[in-house]
Amino acid sequence: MHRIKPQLFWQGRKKLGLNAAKLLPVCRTLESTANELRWIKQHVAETPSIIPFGARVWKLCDRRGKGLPLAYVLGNQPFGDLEIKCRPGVLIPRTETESYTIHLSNILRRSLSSSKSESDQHQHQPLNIIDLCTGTGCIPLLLYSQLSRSHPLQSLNIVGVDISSKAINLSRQNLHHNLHAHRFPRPSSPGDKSHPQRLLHFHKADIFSPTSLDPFLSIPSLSSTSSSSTGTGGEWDLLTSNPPYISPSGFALSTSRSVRNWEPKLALVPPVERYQEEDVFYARLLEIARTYRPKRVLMEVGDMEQAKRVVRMVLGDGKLRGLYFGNGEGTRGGNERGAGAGAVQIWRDDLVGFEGYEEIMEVGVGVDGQNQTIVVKGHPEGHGRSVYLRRVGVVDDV
Amino acid sequence: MLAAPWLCRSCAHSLRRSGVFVSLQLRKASTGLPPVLLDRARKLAAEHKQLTKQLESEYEPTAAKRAGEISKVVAALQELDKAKSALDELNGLLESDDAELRQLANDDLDATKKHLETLGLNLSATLTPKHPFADMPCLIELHPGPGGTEGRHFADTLFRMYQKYCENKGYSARVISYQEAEDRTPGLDGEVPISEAILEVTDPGAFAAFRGEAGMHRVQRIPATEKQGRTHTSAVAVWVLPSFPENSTDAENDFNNPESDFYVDPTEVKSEKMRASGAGGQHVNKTESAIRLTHIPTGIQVSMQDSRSQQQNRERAWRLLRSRIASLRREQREAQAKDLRDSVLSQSQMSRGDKIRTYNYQQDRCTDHRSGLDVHNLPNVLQGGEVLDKVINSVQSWLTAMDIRNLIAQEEAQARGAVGGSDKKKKGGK
Repeated sequence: MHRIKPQLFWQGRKKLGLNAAKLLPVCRTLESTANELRWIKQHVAETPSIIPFGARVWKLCDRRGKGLPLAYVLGNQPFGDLEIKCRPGVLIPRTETESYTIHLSNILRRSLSSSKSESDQHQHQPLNIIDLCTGTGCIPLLLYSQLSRSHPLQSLNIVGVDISSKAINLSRQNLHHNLHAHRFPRPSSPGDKSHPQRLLHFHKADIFSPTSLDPFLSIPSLSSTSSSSTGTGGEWDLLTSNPPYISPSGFALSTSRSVRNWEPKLALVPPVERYQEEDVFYARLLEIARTYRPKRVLMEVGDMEQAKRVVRMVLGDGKLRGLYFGNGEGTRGGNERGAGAGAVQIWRDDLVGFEGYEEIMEVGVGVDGQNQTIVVKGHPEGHGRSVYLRRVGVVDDV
Repeated sequence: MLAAPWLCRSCAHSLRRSGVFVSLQLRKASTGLPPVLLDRARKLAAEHKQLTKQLESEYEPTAAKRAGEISKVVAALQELDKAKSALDELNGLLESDDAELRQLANDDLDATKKHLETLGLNLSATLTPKHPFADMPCLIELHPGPGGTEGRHFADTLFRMYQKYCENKGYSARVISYQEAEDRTPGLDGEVPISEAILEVTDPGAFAAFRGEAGMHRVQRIPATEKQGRTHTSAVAVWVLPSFPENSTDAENDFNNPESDFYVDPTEVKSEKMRASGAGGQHVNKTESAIRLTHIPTGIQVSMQDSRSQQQNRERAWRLLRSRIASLRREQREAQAKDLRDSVLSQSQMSRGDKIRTYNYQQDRCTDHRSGLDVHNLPNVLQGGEVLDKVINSVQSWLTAMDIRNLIAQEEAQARGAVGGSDKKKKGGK
């Protein structure tokens, strides 16, 4: 990190006031300082208090100046069209997560719209979504918000799971917070049998302990017509996860200071020593995918290397390969022409607005000794951000 | 009327009898419509007739569309012709010997002439090309011109003026971007120096209402920073861009349609974000939410950093990029059409560089240089009150008159046998 010129402090003081000198060591540039100062002032102006305006701005700038992330200082972070509350002890939602969640909700919305014409009964069949390691609950909340507004008659069953009770409390608070701000319609209450049934729940569970996770992974039958015993409907349409994925050495070296000092290590670094340490969650997630066969899986990863490792884990496992890769038709022709062929893809940052970008990437030698190729989506300058799996037979209309 | 200041009564009487008087008045009424416009209407009517005949034998969608487009003109022309023949009839009656009949005809004459005039206006309105973006919402962009803080201060005043004007007129406006300049010297009435501001007016048709505002707005006043009381002149550039309606099913098809002016090929857009440091994701928690997009073929650059939400910045940046590109494409097409046209009217073509309005504080005056309207009560103008409304309306009618004149010039050029008729015809027919 380069040194900040004293001159910059002078300029900041002159142009932006005394608060700027506090923010400058953290923000590094005048432009970013001006932005953060404006956001802090906006926040103070929007939240009434008996403490004078100037004093509150000064206090917040002081805390921000000590390196506390802005989302913790202000207590919230925008995520899509929602406002997510943030508190120390729970990971702050990242813009990268926001980007792929929006893309994911677009995929789901389109596939709902195209299947809608088939039958009205389809809407009674709930769309089942589970998010593991949910943190603030940002992914389930945004998906709920987008889907309930674009398809107001569609039944939904969305679950968020996290090991931390702080996170679960916060995600429930976030649900109520956004509900009060009328950002999305109210979920159905448990006894309510009216249509559409929209459920959104957060549960505390350790995803490594089968006994604690299993109750949430088996889908409860919502209506008498689609009980899980008949074999229809008891499937997850989407499994998402943003698990801890930073290796202990990476945590010491490549994370920024404010992440290292203020954000929960629990949400960043996997605690177990097995495999390559940072990949241990993916092994477990894929194990869950193998058992419960969700139609689509999305896992956030740290970089392209990790994405490739995860893809290799999928392709190396015979059952997963059969489920999601099939005979590799999804990569041929470079687009989605092979409908229902299944897909193993890597998504880069900056997907929204750049859906058209696509490239074919080799991920190494497979079991049959041939080079394996998969599709990489998103702007070529973006980092590898997530691995997307789609089961054979499931169609995305993109 | 007659040129003679005085006329003896018996002479006047005989004049009236012979119909000279009447024919003079008549000529005045019928000159309400320029002959070229009438010619064009006749040509269109002929085309319409031919098209309907063609459509009777076999249906063709393009021909049907064209026929539908010009059917309004034909209807207006038919009505005009009917009124004209009625007038001719009255004219004939006036010359009859029956005094009672003459009296009756005389009574009817005024009403018929009025009717004729409105019909003439009607026809010219149907012939005037409608701006292709007229039904769209718009973005009003303010950029202070060179000249330091004073221009930036005034940009803030203009921004507030438009905001209040929208409030007064019942338009829904929202702030897309409001960038304070780095130096923070306060101006007159608590003005904040701004480096750029964008206001979106989301009502459909806002583009038509505000398109006359595009251009250089000049201010003459003694700035707050001036110590010696000298009057300064600075300028603020106002751009009015069509914006894409947000929640319209029609629009969804449209901006993904490569034919549309708003279509932007994502592969031609470079998105520059802060990618330099680290891996992103969980590794960093940057607050940097700025989005910068560059459209490579045109070199248009947009940058948005107002909101904490990157998603919102991204959406706004894309909207702005689309609007700017659409407006550029439109301008290029207009420039092409202008080249084809007679160069007599070239100065009436508005471009971003022209000075269009002056706000003079000392004289409490606001002048629009195009319509030539001069109004006082500057505070009311800057509050977006009815005086500003008057100015904007005057510009509107000036623009309409200009459109008609352009059309006529185009017709004349065409009549002279200029080349490349098809493109111009299409423009005129809209």
